[in-house]
Amino acid sequence: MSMAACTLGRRSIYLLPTREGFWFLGTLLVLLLAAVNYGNGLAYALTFLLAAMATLSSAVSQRNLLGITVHEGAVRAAFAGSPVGFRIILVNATQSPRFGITVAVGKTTITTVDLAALEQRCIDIPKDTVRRGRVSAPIVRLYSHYPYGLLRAFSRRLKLEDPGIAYPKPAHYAALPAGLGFVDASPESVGARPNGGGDFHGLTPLREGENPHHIHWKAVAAGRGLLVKRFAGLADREIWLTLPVAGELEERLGRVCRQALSAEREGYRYGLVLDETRIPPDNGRFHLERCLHKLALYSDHGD
Amino acid sequence: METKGPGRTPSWLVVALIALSCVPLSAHLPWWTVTGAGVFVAWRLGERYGLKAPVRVLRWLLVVLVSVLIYARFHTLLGEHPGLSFLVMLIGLKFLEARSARDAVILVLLSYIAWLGDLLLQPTMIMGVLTLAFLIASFVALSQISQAAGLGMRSRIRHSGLLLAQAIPLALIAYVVFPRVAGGLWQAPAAVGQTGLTPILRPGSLSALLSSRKVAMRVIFHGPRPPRDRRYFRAYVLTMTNGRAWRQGPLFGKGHTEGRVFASYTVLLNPTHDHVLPALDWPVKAPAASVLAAGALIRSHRPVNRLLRYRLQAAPLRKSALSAAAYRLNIALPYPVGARIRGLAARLAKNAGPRKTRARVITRRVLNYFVSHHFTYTLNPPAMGRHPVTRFLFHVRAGYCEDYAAAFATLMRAAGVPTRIVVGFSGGEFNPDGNDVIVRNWDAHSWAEVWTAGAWRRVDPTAVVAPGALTERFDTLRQMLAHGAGHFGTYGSFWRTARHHVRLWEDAATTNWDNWVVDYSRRRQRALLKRLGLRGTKPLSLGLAVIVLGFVVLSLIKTLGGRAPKQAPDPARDIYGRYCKKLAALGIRRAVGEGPWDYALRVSLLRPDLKEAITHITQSYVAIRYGLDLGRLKEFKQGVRRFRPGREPRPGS
Repeated sequence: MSMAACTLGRRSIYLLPTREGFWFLGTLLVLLLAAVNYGNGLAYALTFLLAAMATLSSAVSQRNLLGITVHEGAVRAAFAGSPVGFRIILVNATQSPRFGITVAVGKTTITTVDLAALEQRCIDIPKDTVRRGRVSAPIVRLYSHYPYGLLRAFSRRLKLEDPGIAYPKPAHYAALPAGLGFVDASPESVGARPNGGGDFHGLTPLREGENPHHIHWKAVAAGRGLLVKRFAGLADREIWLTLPVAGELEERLGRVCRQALSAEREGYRYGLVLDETRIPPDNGRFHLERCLHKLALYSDHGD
Repeated sequence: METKGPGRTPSWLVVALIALSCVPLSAHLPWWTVTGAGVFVAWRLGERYGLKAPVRVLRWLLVVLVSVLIYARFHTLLGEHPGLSFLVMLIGLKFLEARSARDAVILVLLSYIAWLGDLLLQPTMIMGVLTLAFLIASFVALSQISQAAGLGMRSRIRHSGLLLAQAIPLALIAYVVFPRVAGGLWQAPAAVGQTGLTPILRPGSLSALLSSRKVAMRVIFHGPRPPRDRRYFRAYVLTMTNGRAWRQGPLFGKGHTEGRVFASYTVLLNPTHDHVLPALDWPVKAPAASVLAAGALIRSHRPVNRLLRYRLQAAPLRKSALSAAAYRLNIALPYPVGARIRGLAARLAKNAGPRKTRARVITRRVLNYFVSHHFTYTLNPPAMGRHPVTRFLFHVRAGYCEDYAAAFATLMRAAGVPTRIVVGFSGGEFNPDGNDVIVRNWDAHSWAEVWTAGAWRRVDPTAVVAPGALTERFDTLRQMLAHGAGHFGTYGSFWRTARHHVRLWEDAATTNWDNWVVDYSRRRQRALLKRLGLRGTKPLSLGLAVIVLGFVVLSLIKTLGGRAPKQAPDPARDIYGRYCKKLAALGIRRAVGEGPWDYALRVSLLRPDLKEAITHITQSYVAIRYGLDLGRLKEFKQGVRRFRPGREPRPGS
């Protein structure tokens, strides 16, 4: 099932005794043996009451997870060596509060949260990376020991869908190639450019492929439709980033990575050429991510 | 379960549970067990105030020390009392080293076992009620341990109480149905320090029971209840004496009862840890799992370690034979009997008539002697010294039943009539509420049996001397004594009567409690199940039924229980959901966490033709949802209903 959103139903919740639960069972056995041996009605009553209470508490255990919706949040990419940030959102869309819900990946506990009625909580699930490339999505389980710590209610394995990505680790320093002064003939690059540090130029209707971050929300709220802020007055400097010829592959990728980061920070328009891949020069966070993504997945064999 | 830091002391609730379960045990265990456990708990609690925790080695030394102490006291580590002593000390030691949530759980579980000990030693109604409170408290403690925050104390108590209320019907079914095992699994060793009848009679041995109100047994008569002077329950027959004490000796011969059965009754005998089953004279035949031994005594095969129920019939006469050996034994006075006793006996036996009626004549004369010489009955006889019979007969002339029985038997034997002493209970109090007769420890009595005309016949010298001693009026006296009131008139008669009635009602309740809780045996279970229409079910199938019941309940809970909690009503969200669904049908799904405007932007990029409608709907939604402009709800609803995005080709492609 798509993990985009998953509401825990009865069939996706399981119950097992915890270690304390097994001790509790052992105690029940001792009590029962004593009751049988001494034929003492009160001892029987104590044993059966305890057993019935533990049995019935399983309904409470199950209900604590029942109806919780687990949404998959956006994955935050990272540079190799630092953790990729997966994220789930636990939504309690019900009127009953939930207690002590633990999110775990394998045997690692991520966190334990309480969810009040109608509350939702973001849970970050960092996953360490060593090398660049795709990071498989973690398999998450929810569990809780509520209410008495005797039973563990746990959800089925929830496999997140979107893999994460680890960009190459940027080199400490890499000089930018000399600016080539190319001028792109595409209409977007002429005149106003939708970012950079220039002056505000005006509002134009949103066009396809434009960065939604420049939408003028006040105008939208005022019912004027989707308008985009335009800026003007930046000197156009275009550079092309390519893989250096010499050196080990990872190191070379690290240098390109650093160059892209610097170019973005300096406000250059930069493009990327990797074997057959060619990303035209541009600037902005989405462009940077596109470039880093390419670098992360680059393989020697032209993959 | 998360542990709560390395040095966390178990909560006060756990301390309370331990105290609640262990303190009542102190009455039954050596004093140092509960005290010791208390010291350990105090030690641990004292760590907050700078007391040093014991090192690991010391803790192990303490375990060894405790084991040695218990072994030294009981000469074993097994059995009820050593086991409970060990448990109490173990709880103390565990508390001393409790650091984690897990330790706290173990303490709660151990307190269950200690509580079981309380229930075994004191299966009373009050303990039954307290058990419910104990269960709630323990579950509150477990809930507290399993998660530190989030829930208030009050809701924890409410949840646990509710759980208990739900558990009661289930537990009741299991209680009624679960097969009872006759005779237990292993033999419980005899309990220490039980009070009650003893098979030795010496001056003062029975008057010690005078102040014990403890119920020895309850007797339910089927049919007419015999009068007081026929309610003599025989427990021990004493045939050997050394002048000061009477003891059990060999008993001979078989017999058979004669005459119409005058009483048919059921006895609920409280644990005595002995084989004796008291019975009216004369029992017709022994109940199950017991034997009608010589001397017409009923002996159970196993010691009575728990409430025992047995049914008997009584006949007025039991004929038997007296062999030469038995005759010799029953007239023997194997000690230098004082000359005054010999002289008195000879005087009373003179011209006693023909052999056939001789015993009867001498009996009458001895009893007359007591009456004519103004013997009196006292509850506090003076010390009788080294020759109690002589002193009683010729100096004190006042005594309790054991003095009369001993003096009577001595005189009879000295006069050559086979006589023996019987110890048991007499009388008992009729309880109109429960329609039963309650026999308490203070009803302990001793009397004599004289061999006349081919049978042992009961003679109660006390009844002759103090007829009032066996009447209801006398009961009141004993009650006053037992409650320390000392003399009459302290309370008005109204209050006395009222108190008496409350006590009788309480006794009736106790009888029911004993019937259905303490002594819910295999036999009673069968009878009840028969009444419920489950005739002839085998124990195995009953056991299976309980297990199946457990599984059925579990699976019901799994499939039906925990009904899905209700979603909070939110019409705007529902209507917006419909709109999203329509768009999703086109393949433009709203992503998680995507705000309405983000979504609107994305959709309008893909479907510029819908831009106007989308903007309109989103505006309404945002206004209602975030601006709380509920007036627009209708407009919003209509907008969404009219919104019919078709699969139009995208313009420009």
